[in-house]
Amino acid sequence: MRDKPDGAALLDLARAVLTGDLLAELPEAARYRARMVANAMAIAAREMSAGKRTQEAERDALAALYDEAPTAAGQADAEELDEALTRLNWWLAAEIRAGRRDGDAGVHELLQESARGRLRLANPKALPSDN
Amino acid sequence: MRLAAAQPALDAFLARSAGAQTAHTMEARPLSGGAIQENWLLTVDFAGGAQDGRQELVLRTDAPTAVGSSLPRAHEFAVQRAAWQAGVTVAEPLWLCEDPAILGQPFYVMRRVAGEAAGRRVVADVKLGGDRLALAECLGRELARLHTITPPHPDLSFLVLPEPDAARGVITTCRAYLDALGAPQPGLEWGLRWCEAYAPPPGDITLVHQDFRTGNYMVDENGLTAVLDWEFCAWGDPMSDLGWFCAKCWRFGRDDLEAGGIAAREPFYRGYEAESGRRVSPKRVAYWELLAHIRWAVIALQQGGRTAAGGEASLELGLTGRLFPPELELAVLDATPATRWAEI
Repeated sequence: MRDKPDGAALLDLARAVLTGDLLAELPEAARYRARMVANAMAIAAREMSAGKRTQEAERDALAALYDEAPTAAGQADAEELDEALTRLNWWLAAEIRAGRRDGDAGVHELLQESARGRLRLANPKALPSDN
Repeated sequence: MRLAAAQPALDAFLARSAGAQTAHTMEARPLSGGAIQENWLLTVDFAGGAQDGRQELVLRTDAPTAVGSSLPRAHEFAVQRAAWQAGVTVAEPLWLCEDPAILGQPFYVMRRVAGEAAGRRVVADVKLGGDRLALAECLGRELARLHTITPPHPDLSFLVLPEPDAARGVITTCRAYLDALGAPQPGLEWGLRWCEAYAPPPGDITLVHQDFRTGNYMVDENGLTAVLDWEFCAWGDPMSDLGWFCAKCWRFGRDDLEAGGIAAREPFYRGYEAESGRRVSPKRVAYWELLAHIRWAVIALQQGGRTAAGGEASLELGLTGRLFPPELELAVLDATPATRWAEI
């Protein structure tokens, strides 16, 4: 996005207003809902700024596992990324369920990295501190 | 749901059920909590019959977002009754109404019990729940009383006959739910496969609550007032309820207090063993704690898919579907590193 501030920056600004003075002025009964709204905005903002990078990293790790060519940075559009992630994760999920990846340390590491990436977008406060 | 329009029909139902000449709903207000069910606090004046006078009741029905793995209200009413008869501390279930002409959907009415349930508040405010060791022991005893209910049970014939191997039953169910969600979850599959490979040998089968945890019981300043939310009951391994209660994901910020964020395991296990005469198997409980993380992740993913109605309930469900699964998945993966597969 060429025009500034971009969507993610606007969401951050809007969220700061919501969680700052606006939250304090709301009646107690409305604060829980306001915090939910702020939480949703934060996830959306993080996704807008880092979502694609996270997906690309996961896609590249999966592609390496299955000897597919990695994507050049910024090459794949959102739809292609989604499609590749779904396809490769289906395959991995099916292999794991069938017992073909039992105790596979490489797969375990890949799965941890994928979970950490999604956690960093959805709820970074919950990330274990040693990572 | 709007109660006002239905009030004459509801009052007639209440009077009939209570054997009263008349019943008049003086006040009806929605109670918070319960993404799946909708609860209303009713203040009702009865004339005559066993409930003569003013009664505070709770009406429980489906919320607009309801679907999924929970029991229909008629079945929940039956398990809550069975628990009441087994001596579990539970709101007394009074009357079930399956006639859609009254509210448009089935509902049941129970006696109102006062108390605080919100997990974070119960854990943080030590003035709640009375002595914490006594509360943990009491909750162990409650669970033990629930586990005296065994199949076959004449009033619970709707519950699917138990698989002799309860762990494999839960794994199969989780896989079916993941398939229905339509998005691959290799991290959770990893945990499920580990649980399949290391399933403990089949043990006792009893009624299990399946959501017995801090946040789902009410306390006042003296102690327990009621165990809530009976909609996930099934036949299963009694140790699964202990694992769910102790699982790290239900400690509300007090990871050091392994029994639900309120106490150490010891008083909880002690209460359970004293009341049931059954030994707690720490290894079995640990296994079920892992499966608890997986099952809660699957439920959270299901809730995240139920946002179609819009509004704040949908926002809460949507956030549940995003906030919790990756964290739970990471905990499952941390518990099942490659080295823990060595014996396969």
